[in-house]
This record gives sequence, structure tokens and C-alpha cells, in this order.
Amino acid sequence: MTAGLIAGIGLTLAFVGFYAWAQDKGWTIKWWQWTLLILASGLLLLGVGALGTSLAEGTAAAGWLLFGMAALVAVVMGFAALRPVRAS
Amino acid sequence: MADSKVSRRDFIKGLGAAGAVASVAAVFTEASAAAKAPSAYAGWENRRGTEYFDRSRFEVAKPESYQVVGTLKRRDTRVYDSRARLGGHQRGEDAVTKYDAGDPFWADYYAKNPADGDGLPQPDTDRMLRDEWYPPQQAIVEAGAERRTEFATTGEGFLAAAWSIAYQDFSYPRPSSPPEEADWEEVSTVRGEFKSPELASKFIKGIAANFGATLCRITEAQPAWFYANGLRGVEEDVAIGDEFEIRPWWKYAIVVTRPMEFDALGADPNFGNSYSGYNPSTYVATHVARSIKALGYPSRVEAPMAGYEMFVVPFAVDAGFGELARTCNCVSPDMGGNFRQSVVLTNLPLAMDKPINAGVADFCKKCKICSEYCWTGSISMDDEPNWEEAGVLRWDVNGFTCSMGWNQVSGGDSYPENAPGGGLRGCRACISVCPWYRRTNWLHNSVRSFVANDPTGLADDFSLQFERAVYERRDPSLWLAPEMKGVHDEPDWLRTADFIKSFSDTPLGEA
Repeated sequence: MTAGLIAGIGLTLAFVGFYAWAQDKGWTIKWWQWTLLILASGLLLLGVGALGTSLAEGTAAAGWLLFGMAALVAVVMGFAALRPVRAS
Repeated sequence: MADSKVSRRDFIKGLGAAGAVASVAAVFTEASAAAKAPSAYAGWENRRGTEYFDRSRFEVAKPESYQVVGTLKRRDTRVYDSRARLGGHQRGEDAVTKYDAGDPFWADYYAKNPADGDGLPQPDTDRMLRDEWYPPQQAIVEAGAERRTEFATTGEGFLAAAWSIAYQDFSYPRPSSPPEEADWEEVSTVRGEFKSPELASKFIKGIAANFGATLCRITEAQPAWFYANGLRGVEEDVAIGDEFEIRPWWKYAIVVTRPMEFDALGADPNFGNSYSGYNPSTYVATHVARSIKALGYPSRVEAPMAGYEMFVVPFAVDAGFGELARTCNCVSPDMGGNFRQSVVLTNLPLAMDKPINAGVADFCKKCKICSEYCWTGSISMDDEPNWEEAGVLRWDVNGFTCSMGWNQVSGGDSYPENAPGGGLRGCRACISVCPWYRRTNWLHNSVRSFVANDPTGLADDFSLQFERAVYERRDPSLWLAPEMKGVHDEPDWLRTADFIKSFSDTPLGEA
């Protein structure tokens, strides 16, 4: 519960900060790009969770693989979301 | 007041970066805690009405993990498999030795059963197992005997043995008179009539949970799952081919369970024990049965530490604990095979639960990890269940070779008197290597739900590939003496070298 609250508030702040940073760069981020970014960050957090659980269970290999897969997909999604704005 | 060097905009950006870090840290910390929480130990989250795995969504009208393909037949524990028949072979007390000596009981048995379940001729198959298969296997037992004794008495298994024997050396009441007396003993003269069978079931499940059951479900007392022989409390057993009478008050079967100690089970075949499940499940059943008698109804306990007149596994399957798996034990979606069940028989009118199909048996068809890791080759490698016994089609497990495996790891030896080694009983490795044996946290619950809800079988394939790729299991060659390792490492609290400084002779009787 507490962790969920912290993660939720933290993520909200992260997106506010990112929005400020993107505005400074002159980027215009559309709704579908926001959606992709939110999904990517959620996936990344899932990967972090899988890593944390697996390390604590003593199944590190599974955790690193899950985290790696989640991070890879999240990064690809992030690039896919931001590539159009960077190009414009 | 001096102007701040950090603009409001930069502050928001910095706060955003801090928020991102906080999110990651919070998720990581919570996820780590989820792996270690007491409720993460399979089965322990199951309390009255709070099972995380909602079985109701998977309930079916009749069990789908085994098929009834003929006339169901009650089995005689003296004859039903080679393990039973060949017991006592070292002392010349096995079936085929007695048969060769002209014993009329076994002459009658072999005459009525000229072939075993594989269609192999009897008694020749029993002779082959005794004379050809057994000696080299027994040689492995004997070669490791000294090391196993050292392991449990002054070696790395010392603490595990001391813990285990505390579970094992405990007595529960057993029927000492016929059911007409034992089942009715102490039954209250005042009978409480429940308003409905549903409410009676709710009360009984509450009692079971109160005494520590992690799961309690109710099914019909199917006569075919009772043994044909061995009724407790009577002096003479039935003749071969005969069956003891199923008593009319054995109408409902209340199945209760407790898991075995999770981490020690993971370090099987050398560090765990069945008694951490046997003892508590017997405890629960004994108390539930006593409570039923106080309600004014007869009851009878069928439990590991009080004795059985039945195979309890099919009752667990029928009650919807899980499904009949490749190992021929009941594997549940939430606990895997990590539980030991007991049964209470009664005629208290109860609402019955249904069996489930949560994809466990279908997963077993593809998995076979237990078969691959069983070094005695006791578990079938066949894709589909193809072993017919007593009217039931299931996978085959060879009880004789399996029990030999128990003797080759940390069980079955004669340990020195009053040394704790007797508390260790191998092996349960088929349970600890099973992919369904996982903690109950968000990560594994997601996979369970994924597999249970996918009708295409793709989830089975994906999760099985992942299972094989990343979840490590120690090779079986390291389970036997002299290494005597577990499938996984033993838990911290069972590491003898971390706790015990030295060993010495106990000054018995001295201060």
C-alpha cells in the first residue's frame, strides 16, 4: 500500500518533470505518445518488481532475464514514442 | 532574500527525476518484501474465504485429470503394486518368495492376477525386480550408508534431522475398536441440526481453519477410493479378494491440508521431511473429527499419523484441491504438490465442493521435469496418462523403484539409536522440482493465472520454456551420497555449520 502510494506519486512527479523538460526542448507530445510512455514506464517498473522479487527468492537468473526483457521492450517503446517529436 | 539559483522549472524537472527514482525504489522494495512475506510460503495465504486462487472459476462437474475407464475397484494394499508385494524381500517375506514356498494367499493372488498393469507376466516380473533390478540399486544404498549416517548425526543434516524428528515423533489417537464403536465414541447425546448443509460446511471449514488448515474442501466419500483391506480396529484382515464394508455413516469426506515447510522442501531430497505436512494435517483432522462428534455426529479420521483406510489423493482431487498430476499426487495451482492431506469421514449433512480444472494436468502433459529429475525413473515419461489401474486411467508411478530412491537419499537407513538421523525421510524431489512449487506472490501468481486461464496452451509452452531456461535445479547425481545436496540450497536456519560449533558425547543423565 505504502509502496504503491510512493510509486504512484513518484511516477506522477516524474511525468510532470518530463513534461517540463520536453516543453523546454520545444517538443509537442501527443496523446498516443503519452500512452506509450506511460505503458513503457509501467513495464519498466514491472521488470524492476520482478527483479526485486526474484533476487529475494534466490532466483536471480530469472529476475535479471525478466528485468532485461521488460527493460528492452520499455526502451523500444520509449524510442518509438519520442522518435517523431525528436525528428520534428 | 537572494534569488534562488534553481528556477522553478528546473526544480520541477529535478523533482520529476527524484520521483522516478523513488518509484523504482518503492517497487523494488515492495517486490522484495513480497518474496519473503510469511504469506508467500505456498498455502499460507489460504485462510477462511481468503484463498488468493479463486477455485470457483475453475470448478467442473467431475474430475478431468483422471478418467474412469472401467469398473472402479477397491485395492488391496498387500498386493496392489510391486512395492506392496515386494516389501520385506530382504527377509524373504515378499510375495513371490512366499509364493514359491507354496503360500496359499499368494498362490491365490497370482492365479487371479496373471499380469500386472503393464501386461507383464506375474510372478515373473516380481522375480525380475527382486533378483535383477534390486541388487544393484541396493548396492547404491549400502555404498552411501556411512556417509548418510554421518550427514545426519554429525554432518550438514544435523539440524534438519533434529527439526524433522520433532514433527515425526508424535502420537495421534488411532481407532482401536471397530468403526461401530470407534466412530461413535464420545459422540454427543445432543445433536445439532444445521439450518442448511451450506452453513454446516461453513462451520466445519471455519473449525479446520481455526486449527491451522490452509485449505479445507468437502466431497463425497467415494467407496472406490477406500482400500479393500486393513480396517483399523479389527483383529483379522479380510481374505484376498474380499473387501471390508463401507459403513453407512462414511458419507462425506472433509479433506484438510497443510503445506510442508517450503524452504526445506526446496532443499529436498535431503533436508526436508513429509512430517511437516503429515503432522499438522493429522492435527487438524483429529480436531475437526472431535468437533463433529460434539455436534452429535459420528466421525473417523483418515490421516498420515493416525492411519488410513483409503487413498487420500483422489479425495483431494475430487474435492477440488488440485488435479491428479504426472506424479500421481494431487498438484494444486496455488501450492503445487507441497501439501499433505487428511480426511474426516462423517454423515453430518454438508454442502460439497466441486473438482477443478485449472490447467495443471494439461501442463503436466508437456512438462515432464519431474520425470527427468527422478533418477530412479519411477515417473512415467509418456505424453498422455496411459496407465490403467483399478478402473482409473492415469500416469504410472512405480512405487517399488520410488521407495528405493527414498532409501538412496537420506531416508530409510537405520540410524544409531537416539541419534536424530531417523528424523530425515527422503525424497519428495518430484515436488520440489515441479514448476508449480513456487511462492505465492504477485510474480508467480501472475504466471499461474496466465497458465490457468489460457485455453490455447500457448501459456503452457511459454512458461515452460522460461522455466527451463532460467530456473536452476541441482543435478540428481549430487543428491546422492557422498554429496547429499538438495535440489536447492537448504534455508539459513538449517545450515548446521553456521550454528553448531562442535559435537561431543552427550553426558546422559548428568547435570
